[in-house]
Amino acid sequence: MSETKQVELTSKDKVSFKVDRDVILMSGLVKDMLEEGDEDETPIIPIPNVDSKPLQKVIEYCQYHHKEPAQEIEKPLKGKIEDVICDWDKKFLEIDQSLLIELIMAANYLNIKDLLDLTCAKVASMIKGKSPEQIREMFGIENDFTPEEEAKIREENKWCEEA
Amino acid sequence: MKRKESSKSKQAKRPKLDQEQMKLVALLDEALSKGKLVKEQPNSDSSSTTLSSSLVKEPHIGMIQLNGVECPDELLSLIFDFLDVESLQRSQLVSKKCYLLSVEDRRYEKAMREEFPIYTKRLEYLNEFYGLKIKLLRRRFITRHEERLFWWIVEASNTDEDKVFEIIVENCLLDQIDKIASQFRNAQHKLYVSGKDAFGIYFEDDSGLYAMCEIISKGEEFFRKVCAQPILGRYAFKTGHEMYMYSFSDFSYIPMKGHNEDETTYQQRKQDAIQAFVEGYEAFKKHNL
Repeated sequence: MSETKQVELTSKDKVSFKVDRDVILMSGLVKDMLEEGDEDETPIIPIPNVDSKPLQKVIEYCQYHHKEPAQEIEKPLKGKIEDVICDWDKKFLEIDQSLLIELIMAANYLNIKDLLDLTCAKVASMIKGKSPEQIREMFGIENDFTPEEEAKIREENKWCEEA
Repeated sequence: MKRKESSKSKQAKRPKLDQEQMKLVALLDEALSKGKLVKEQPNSDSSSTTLSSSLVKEPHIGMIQLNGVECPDELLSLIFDFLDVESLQRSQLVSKKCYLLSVEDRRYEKAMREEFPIYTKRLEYLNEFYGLKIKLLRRRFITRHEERLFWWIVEASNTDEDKVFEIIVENCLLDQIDKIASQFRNAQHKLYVSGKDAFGIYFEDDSGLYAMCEIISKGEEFFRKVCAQPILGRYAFKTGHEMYMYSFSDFSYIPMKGHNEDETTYQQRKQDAIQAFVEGYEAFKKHNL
């Protein structure tokens, strides 16, 4: 019986995670690195751009979805994200907002398309139905319009708003 | 009950569209305003005067802070890919970066193709499939104001049924023809009810039908006067305007299925008609009239 090959990932804050090679091959970045590297027993791969907290979530995602491929999320989202994702993903996304943004960054860096889509869709779902002020407040985005510019945009759009 | 309906129709008289609204309803799209009908260019045409033209000149720094995390613009763009048109509209006021992302054509393409397939083909035929935000919003605007659109067509046609065909084709309103046809029938029904309320029977038989067409062709103001005082429409029994009715019938644009005609042949005929429509009034005339 052959043992499952493992890979050791080291986060930005120097925390190590041992993961099955098959699982972490969902990451395009890790896959490329493993293809280029030697056939070590347990290769150590530094992930210098990702902290341990989001990296742990990434591993959790890969552990589930390498066996259960994620369904594609339609663009744009027609309803709530909860209507188009599986229960496991719903639970997985019950995290605070800053971790969600870090997860987007991690998915992008590690090149895991399904996770990137899931997290981006989640943020889009949070934006849906919110006013510009609420969106700014939710994500800490600075309003860089001058009052004149803002008034001009409002004026541009006035005609198409339903009476 | 009928009396009540008649007075209700009087109450429902809408205020005249202000100049700006009229322009927006009239100038469905700059790309499609090349027909003889439209002489004036819209002042509010955002494809030339939107804020985006000035914003894009500003230096584009490639990062945005989301919850204190530095995020590349590409990721914000991916988030925006999941936003529907309504959310994009709200997001444009969040910041300049959000504004720029919210006006990109590709975000409106899917909605445009799904909601207005024939109009989309027309734009592609004219090589005008850009500036989709404003084009989509205008289409939505006119399709949500069916009655205004109907009376605008009537008034712009100046009682000429050929002009109605031209307006509908040149402004690519085939997508909306069933709604327009329904507005015509509504107008006829209002006249019929008013006549019946006032005189028992008035707009009856073919002569009454043709008289109603004549009255409607004179425009909204006159139509409302006749609804209020049906006797004003008595002259129309002498003239009539049968042909005007056909220009508002969906069957004049999309062929009906013939007896014993197989589905494939019918679909082909329908596609040919739509293609002619997409190519503009002259092609449509050759094919359909």
